[in-house]
Amino acid sequence: MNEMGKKVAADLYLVQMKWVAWYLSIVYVMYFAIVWFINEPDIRSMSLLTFTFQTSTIFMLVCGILSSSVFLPLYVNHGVTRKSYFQGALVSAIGLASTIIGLTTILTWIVHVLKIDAFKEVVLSSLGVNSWIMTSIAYFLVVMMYSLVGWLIGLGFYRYGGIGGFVTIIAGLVIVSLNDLLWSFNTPKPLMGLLTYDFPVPNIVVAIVASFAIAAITVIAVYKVVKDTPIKIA
Amino acid sequence: MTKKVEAKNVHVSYKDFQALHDIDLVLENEKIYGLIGRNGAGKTSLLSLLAGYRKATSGEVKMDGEAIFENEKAMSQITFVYQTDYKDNHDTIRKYFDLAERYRPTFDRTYAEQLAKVFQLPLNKPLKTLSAGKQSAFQVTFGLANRTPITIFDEAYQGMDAPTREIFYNEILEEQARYPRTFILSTHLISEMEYLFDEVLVIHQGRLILQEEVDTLLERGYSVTGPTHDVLEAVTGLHVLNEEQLGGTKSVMLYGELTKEKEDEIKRKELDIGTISLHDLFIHLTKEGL
Repeated sequence: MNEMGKKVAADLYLVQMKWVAWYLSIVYVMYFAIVWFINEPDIRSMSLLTFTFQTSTIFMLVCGILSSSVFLPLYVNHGVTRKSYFQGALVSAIGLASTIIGLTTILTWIVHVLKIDAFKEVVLSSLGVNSWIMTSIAYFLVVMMYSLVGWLIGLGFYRYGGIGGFVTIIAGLVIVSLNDLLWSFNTPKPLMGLLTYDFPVPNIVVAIVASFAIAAITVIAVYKVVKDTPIKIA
Repeated sequence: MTKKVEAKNVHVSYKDFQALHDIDLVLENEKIYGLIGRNGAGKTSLLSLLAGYRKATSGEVKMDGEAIFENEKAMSQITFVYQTDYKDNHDTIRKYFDLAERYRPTFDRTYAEQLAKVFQLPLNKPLKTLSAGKQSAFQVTFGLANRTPITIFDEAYQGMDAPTREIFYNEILEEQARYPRTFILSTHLISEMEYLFDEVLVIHQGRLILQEEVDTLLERGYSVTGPTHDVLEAVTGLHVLNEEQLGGTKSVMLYGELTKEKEDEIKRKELDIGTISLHDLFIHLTKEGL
């Protein structure tokens, strides 16, 4: 990555981390409030990581959409090439997804270690009670996928307008569904509290590899769209 | 910091619409260029190409021999200022200065702050709260203080009142003296900005119909006034841009080199030779094309 790409990555990460700080604070408060005050078995068995993961898919989708419509013109206006913007935005998205999942995993682990009564029914994820690493990787991959799909859709609308944008929505749905399907093979629907066994490693590996492949294809698609995108002038 | 910008055989089309046809131009020697053309003539398309904002459908746009589009070196040396809508922008001018300082090696913050003071711009208020004129002044500040070798202003004066525009024009001239660079100013306010230009580019229906030094251009445009019959005789075979009739008197606007013989003939007939403003030349040149 070139110097400009690194600068963009650092700046985009910092800007969006301000949003993440707000978002995570709200999600964490909601989670603890729900678990403490609402006696709903489905929620009480859900870990903070799983709860956060579910909303962060949409959060990252929105970040991805904004990346194209707001940040691409801004950086080109400051003399940055599309390629450097692309590199920077990709690295910052990886950084954001890692931070959200990483931070939440640490917090979830602290809650787990403290053995607080209110959280005794909590199950980390459908991948297993102690599948900390697998769960983090899987959630990171899925969250990243939503971010990439948001980026693709945002770019589709920015570059091609309504019809092109609609095509990228369809492409996005296919990508997300494929990814969900892939993980559903290995991670049946998250009926919290029931699925406490570990899945055979090869299946997880296959899911991870295939997720990487889908992500790589999406990244290439994003680059193909962004590399010649004309910047709009009002 | 001499930079040479070239366009060779450039075409731009949007779906079925051909926005630019066969553009060839060379911009060099740190001059101030005026780009004029009617609405929809292709000015912004041309400027977008020069700024690396879009890729030509065919042809080449280069700076110092290297393609501009997606070239980090070239892009960092070009500033493109155009009318931007900040109605949803919560960022402050100070934040934009930080950004420019980080991404533009030539950005002069002290000068930017001086300009902000001259334009009476609040540094800490969100851009969306500024009036249209102040937003334009902010854009201009940003464009001038970037001090990039190529600085493009696309109708950057919109919403500015007359005194503010005057400050803007003076700053361009002063900056050109302090840090010579290539300015490209696209405008509809020809009479007001004419004195800034070293060269003029006229674009009409997607074609660059003229690139000329202002003095030469003004020499090529002239009017002949006098009795109708004598005027008609004198202008036969010349490129007539416009004719006006008042009673028995005719005034004809002409474009082209005035030869010594023709000048003598006009004088012999005791007809008046007058000058034409750039504004009038533009109106009549783009009425019919060249």
